[in-house]
Amino acid sequence: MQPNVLGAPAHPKPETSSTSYESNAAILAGAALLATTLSAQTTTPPPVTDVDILNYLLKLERLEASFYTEGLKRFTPTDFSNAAFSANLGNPAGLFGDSVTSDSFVYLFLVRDQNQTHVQTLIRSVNSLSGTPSPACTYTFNYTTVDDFLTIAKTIADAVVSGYVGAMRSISSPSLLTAAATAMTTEARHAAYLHLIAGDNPFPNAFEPAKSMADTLTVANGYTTACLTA
Amino acid sequence: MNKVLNETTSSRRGFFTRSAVLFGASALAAKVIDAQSTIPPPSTTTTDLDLLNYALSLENLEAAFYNQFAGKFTASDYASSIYTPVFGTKINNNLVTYIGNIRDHENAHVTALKSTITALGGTPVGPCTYNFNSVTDVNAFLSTALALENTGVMAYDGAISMVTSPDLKQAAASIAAVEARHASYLGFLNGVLPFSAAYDTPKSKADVLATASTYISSCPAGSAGANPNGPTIVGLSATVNASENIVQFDFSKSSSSNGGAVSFNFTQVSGPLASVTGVRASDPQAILLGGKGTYVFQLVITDSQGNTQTANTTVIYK
Repeated sequence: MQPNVLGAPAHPKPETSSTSYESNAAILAGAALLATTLSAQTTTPPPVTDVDILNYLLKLERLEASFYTEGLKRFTPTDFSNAAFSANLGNPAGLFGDSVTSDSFVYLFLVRDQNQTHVQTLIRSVNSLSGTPSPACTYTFNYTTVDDFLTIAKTIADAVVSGYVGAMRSISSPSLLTAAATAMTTEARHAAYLHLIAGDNPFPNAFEPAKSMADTLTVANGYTTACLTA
Repeated sequence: MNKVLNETTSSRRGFFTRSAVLFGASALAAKVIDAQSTIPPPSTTTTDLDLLNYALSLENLEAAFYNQFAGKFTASDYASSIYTPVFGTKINNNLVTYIGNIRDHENAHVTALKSTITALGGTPVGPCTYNFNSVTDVNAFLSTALALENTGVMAYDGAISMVTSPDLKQAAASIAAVEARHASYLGFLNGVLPFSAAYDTPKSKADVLATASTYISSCPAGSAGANPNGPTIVGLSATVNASENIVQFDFSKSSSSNGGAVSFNFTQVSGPLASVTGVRASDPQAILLGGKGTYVFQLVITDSQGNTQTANTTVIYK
C-alpha cells in the first residue's frame, strides 16, 4: 500500500457495497443467506491483501491511540468528577472506597494503552510481512469538555468496531484473523464501556453493524489533519 | 466456570497491580501470539456448518440462561446485589432493560444461526437441558452471566480463523463484537475490569465446551447437542417401553468423529431402584430394572480422545 497524505484510501473497496455490509446481519437472520453465500463464493475475492487490511486497521488504531494520548493529557480526575456524565456513575463514596467516576479516568488510560499496544503490534505485523506501515498522522479533535471528549470517543469506537467487523471477510491468514478478532472484541468492550458511562445503551444492536473500508475511513479522515509521507 | 472467572476477574482493588503489569508489558504482543498458538490447527473435517452448530450450541446455552433469569430479577433485586449500590441511578434504572436486551440478542443469535444452518442444508443442534442450580441470587446471576459472555467471546475469537465463507466470517465477527459488549457491561456490573487486556484470549472448542458442560444436564437423544466434537450416539431412544425387567440397547453404530472406539456408561437419574452396571459382563449396554414404573437414565459415551456425548432416555416399565 502507498502511504499518502490525509489517509485517503489507497486500496480499492472490497466487492461488497457498504449498504449490503450493513444489512448483512439482517441477511444472516433471513433465509436469503444461502443465495448470498453462494453468490459470494462465485464472486471474485476482494483485491486487497492482508498487508492492506493491517495498514487500514493501523490507520484506525493510530487515530484512537492519538485521541486518548492527547485527551488524557488535557484532563484531570477533577475534570472527570465535574463532568455531566459522571452523574450516571454513582456516588464517590462507593463500596470499594473509590468511585466509579475516578475509575473511569483510569479506565480510559487503559483504553489508551490497549490501543497503543494494537498500534505497535500492527506495525510489527506489517513489517514482518515486508509491508510499509501506514504513517503516523496528526489529528484535530474539537472538544473542550470531558463530555465532548466522551462523545467523540464513542463515535470513533463504534466506527472502529464496525471497521474491524467489515474487514474480517477480507483477511486470509488464519493467525491474522484470530489477532484481528481478539483486538476487535477488545474494541467492542471499549465501545460498550464508553456508551455505558455516557448514559447510553452499551449494546444497541443484536448484530454489530459492519462498515466498509471507505465508510470507516471517511469517519477517520474527518479527524485527520495530515500524515507523514514514508 | 471458576476457571473462566479466575481468568477474567480482577477486582477494582486489584486494578493497579494488574494495570502495572499491562502498562509495562511491551511483551504483550508476544503473549498474544503465544495465545494464538494454543489454538489447535484447524481440523480438515471442521466445516462451516460444524462451526455454526458449535456457535449455536453456545447461543442455545446463553439464551436458555437469560430466558430463565432475565425476567426473574427486578430493579430492587439488583439494588440488593453487592456491586450495584456504587452505581448512580441512571445505570441502576437501566439494569432490567439492558439485561432484557442481552436476552433478546442471544435469542436473535439463536434464530439467525438456526436459519443459516438450515439454509446451508444442515441440521441445527437442539437445545440441551441446562442446570443453573448454582444461580440462587442476583449476585450469582451476574457472575454467571459474565462467565458465559466471556466464554462466548473467547469461543468466537478462537473459532473465526476456521471459518471459510467470507459472509460467515463477517457474521461471526458481528456476533462476537456484541458478545464482547455484553461482557464489558457485565464486567462493569461485577466490579471487574471491562477490558482486562489489549487482546481477548481465543479459546479452543474443547476448552469452551468444558466450561459449557458445567451448565448442561443432558442433551436430547440423537442430537449433537452439548458437544459437536463428541461422538454421535446411535441406538438410544428418548423413550423405551419395557415389557420385561431387562432393557437392552445396541450402540454399535455409534461413532466417534475421529473414527476411534467409544465406550458407554449409564447412570440412573430417577425412578425405582435399577442396576445399570454388572448386569451381564458381556453386555454392558443392558439395564436391569427393579419394580414397574418410569425410569430416567443418562448415557455418557466417550471416545478415545476423551470427548463425550450425553443423552437421556426414559424407560417405562408396565
